[in-house]
Amino acid sequence: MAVTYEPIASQTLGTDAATVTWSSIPSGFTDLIMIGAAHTKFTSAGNAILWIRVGNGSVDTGSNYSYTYLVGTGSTASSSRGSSTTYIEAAPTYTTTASTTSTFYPFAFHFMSYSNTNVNKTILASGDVSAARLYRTVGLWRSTSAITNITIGTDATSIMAGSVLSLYGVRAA
Amino acid sequence: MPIVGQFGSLAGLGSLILPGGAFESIATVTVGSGGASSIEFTSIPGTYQHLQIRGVSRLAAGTLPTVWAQFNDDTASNYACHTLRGDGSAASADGSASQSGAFSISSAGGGQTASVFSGFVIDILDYASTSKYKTLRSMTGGDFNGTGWIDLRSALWMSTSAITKIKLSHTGSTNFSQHTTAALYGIKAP
Repeated sequence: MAVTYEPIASQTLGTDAATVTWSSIPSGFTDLIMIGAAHTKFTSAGNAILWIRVGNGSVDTGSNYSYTYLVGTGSTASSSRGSSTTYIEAAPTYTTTASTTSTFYPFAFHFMSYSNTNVNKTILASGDVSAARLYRTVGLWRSTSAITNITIGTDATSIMAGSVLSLYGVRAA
Repeated sequence: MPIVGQFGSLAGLGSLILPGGAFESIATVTVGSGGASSIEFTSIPGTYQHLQIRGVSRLAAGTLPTVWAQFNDDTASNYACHTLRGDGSAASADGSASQSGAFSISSAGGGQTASVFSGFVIDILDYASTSKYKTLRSMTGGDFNGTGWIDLRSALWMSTSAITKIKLSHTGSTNFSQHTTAALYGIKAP
């Protein structure tokens, strides 16, 4: 039987990186799933996010994204959104000023029907900062173009060395 | 070979190790130009541990229409459902007993921006058991650049029958729009 859930590429950061990019993503799958765990670096400790940009041929940096998220903090639940943004705020992380860390925060991003040129692209995301914040997010890229490029970035200074980001393809019958 | 410690693919919850080949495509439905009143998966083999349905959805009318799943043609009041929702301004939760189907997809509708489809990942756990009631959970939502929602849903089907048929349809009578896609996968036990 054909492999349905197939690894495409994985990156374990050897050094801090402002962004992580995948290019020339093949179109032979139905959905893409990115799974990983990350920590971020900043000039002070605090909350941060991982963001998503996508594109076809190159990553779209225009104001063509929007998102809605649900967040639980352990004591309260709330929801917020961003409209006409330049990225999708996808998952929470935490920042440190240290050069290394042993704590990385998990996330999963589902790029639904990523190569279907009849639909705008919807991304379902989940992420958690243990004992602090739990996020569930839906994001939109207002384009019917197939996704061939993905960039993951942060509103902190960088994604820390040791962070892992793995991309898989799910192939339907 | 082991391919992933899979945080999140089961509706963003829990963790699962999937050996290569443990996640298999069973069937896919893509709605054609005339639309469709339902999406059905029939003769589902009982050889997996869990099922997952992934896809994008849009209905011909409405705003945030709900799609439910009915199992084995059971349309009686044997389902109970819960939802945790973020709508961009607040979080809310609701529940309802004695339903005729398992609320599973919060869909885009014809009253919302064209070409935007909601996404969904539905897990149906231990679907072939003949000693347990069946539990469904899903992560589903759509964003429309100024409006939108993200939902976590769970539902119970109060039957110990193995699930061999799944019917997805609007809780009312609205059709699925063209390009709606639902793909059924089976997840094997180690």
